[in-house]
Amino acid sequence: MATVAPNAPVTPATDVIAHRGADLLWRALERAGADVVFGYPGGACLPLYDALPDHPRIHHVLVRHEQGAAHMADGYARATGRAGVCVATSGPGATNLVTGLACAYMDSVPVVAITGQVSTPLMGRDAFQETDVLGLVGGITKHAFLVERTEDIEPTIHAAFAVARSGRPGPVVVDIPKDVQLGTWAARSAPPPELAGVTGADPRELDRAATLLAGAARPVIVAGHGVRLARAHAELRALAERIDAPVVTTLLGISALPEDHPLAAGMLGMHGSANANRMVNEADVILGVGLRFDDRVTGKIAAFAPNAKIVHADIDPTQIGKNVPTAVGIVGDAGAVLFALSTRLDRASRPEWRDRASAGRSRPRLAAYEERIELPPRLVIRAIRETAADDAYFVADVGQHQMWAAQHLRLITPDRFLTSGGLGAMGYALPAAIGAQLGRPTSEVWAIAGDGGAQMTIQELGTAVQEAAPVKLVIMNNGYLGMVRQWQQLFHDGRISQTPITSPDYVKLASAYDVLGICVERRAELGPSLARARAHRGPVVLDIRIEREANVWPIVPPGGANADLIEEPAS
Amino acid sequence: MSDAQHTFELTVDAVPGAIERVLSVVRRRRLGLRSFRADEAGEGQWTVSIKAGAVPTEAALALSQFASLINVRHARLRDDDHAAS
Repeated sequence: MATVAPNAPVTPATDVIAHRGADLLWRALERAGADVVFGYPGGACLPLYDALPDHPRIHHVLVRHEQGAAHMADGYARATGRAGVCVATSGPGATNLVTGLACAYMDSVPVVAITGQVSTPLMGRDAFQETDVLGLVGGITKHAFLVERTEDIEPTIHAAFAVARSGRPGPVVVDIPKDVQLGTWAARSAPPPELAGVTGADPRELDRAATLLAGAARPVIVAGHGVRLARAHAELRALAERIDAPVVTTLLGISALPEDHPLAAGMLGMHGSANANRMVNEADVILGVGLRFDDRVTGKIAAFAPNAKIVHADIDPTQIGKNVPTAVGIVGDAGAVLFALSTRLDRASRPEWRDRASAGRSRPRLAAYEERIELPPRLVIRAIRETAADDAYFVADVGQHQMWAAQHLRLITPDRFLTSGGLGAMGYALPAAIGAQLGRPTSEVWAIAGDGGAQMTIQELGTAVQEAAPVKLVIMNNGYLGMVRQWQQLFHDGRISQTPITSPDYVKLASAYDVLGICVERRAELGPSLARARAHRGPVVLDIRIEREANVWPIVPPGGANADLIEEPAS
Repeated sequence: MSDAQHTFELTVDAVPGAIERVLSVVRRRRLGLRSFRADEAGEGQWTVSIKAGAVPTEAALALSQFASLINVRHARLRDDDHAAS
């Protein structure tokens, strides 16, 4: 059972006309439903780009750096539910993809990456721009193929899409030597290789899970990215309402249940809400769906949910029992598991427990000190939320602003929060937002970044301009690598080391790209500037000078238990 | 690593990168590799035998991870009769 919306049905070629390998590649991509490809040409993929104009159904987006191509494919995939596609040449092209592929791998995002390779007689001879791509990406992809014969191109592409989309989604690399691209193939393509299917969840495990949940006094559902990848929002809501169980989410599970729902109890983990963490701490049964219980979620494992029996459901069998001991493990698609549990459980009512969720949902008021300063970060996030369309996409980079966004955007439309959760790759937001925008051209897309992350991939403004992608890039500029500074302040005796960072004049930089740039230094300017950005028809850069040394609260100290979280000091 | 020894028996497609992915699981699960052997088995496959000294929970998890690899057609943990395919 696929966990993402399928691309067009994969249809192997049946004609017997001779084709160049490069044409076979584009034709296979067309047949797999790829309409947008993010890439950058180079010597080892010249034949691919030579053939590209003959395939007008493919819209190729010329990026400014291959890392941007991988992040764009990732953002496209997360926003559309379809596999994203990126292309790079051998050597530096392939190595530049690595961060984006690792990001997609950690967050289970279906991406197919095509890399050119030096011709087969040159492989292993340290040829110009040769790298061992299969060796390079082994640990950061779901699978990688080396295509050694022209006739294998089409079935390999079909297999790559199938692998990327099936089960737990993930990135797949197809490495194609130049001579294979240049070769011709006249016979029918071989059928794609068989892949192991995902079987339904074990009914005995479902029964055991239902028994535990039926007997629970304080159940909590933990929803992870798997719920969103399976588009299982309705099933999650139905089960939560049926058994009156509060729902907490991981960072990537945000918006699996609308954040204004009475059972939505917020995000748990290192920067989760105090209420969500306390509820998990007090729960007697936890149903975790579509997550791996990573360290940012659990804190100190030995102290995680000390009173709870854990039911862990995930489509990837290798996740069950890997990080937390489980009473019941269920392997299956999130939607199917949630539905199956709903059919096994009677309605229940737990008003006091449910009210705890509601209490955690209320937005904390701004602290007194925040009323005295010009641009407290939480105020900025709330202003973005109030300005943007209800169903806008928000793509957060990595750092303090990411956590402020997770805590304060309060999303009520499903699947509108995109961020690099597992890898935590700074530089993600702008390219991923461009990918999301090109996948959802009629939607509003806001990228939220810090001044550190923004400078890692700011060159993709050129891509946004060339593609007329009207993304709104909000730079929450505090002159620091803020999250690292916060840790230095809190956990390294306040020794500030290499975290102050300068920025260019973003308004001038935007202007150089022919992009609207706006600098916001006063609270009174914030609302009008955001409104102006939203109304502008093209891309916009907003340089918002936030409070320099604001911290993210609450925080679970490194190595600590979630119960040890430190709340915002009164000041 | 424990003194207990586990033997994993795998059937693996003979394609580029397949053995490296198997070894990656051995490394990341810290199986305590004692021996590794790959033999051509015909029909485009290898049989792989891995002797390791992992603790039982890690061995079970490794078996699950071997079985999830695209090019692994069959995986078996011989000593305690766990099998997956």
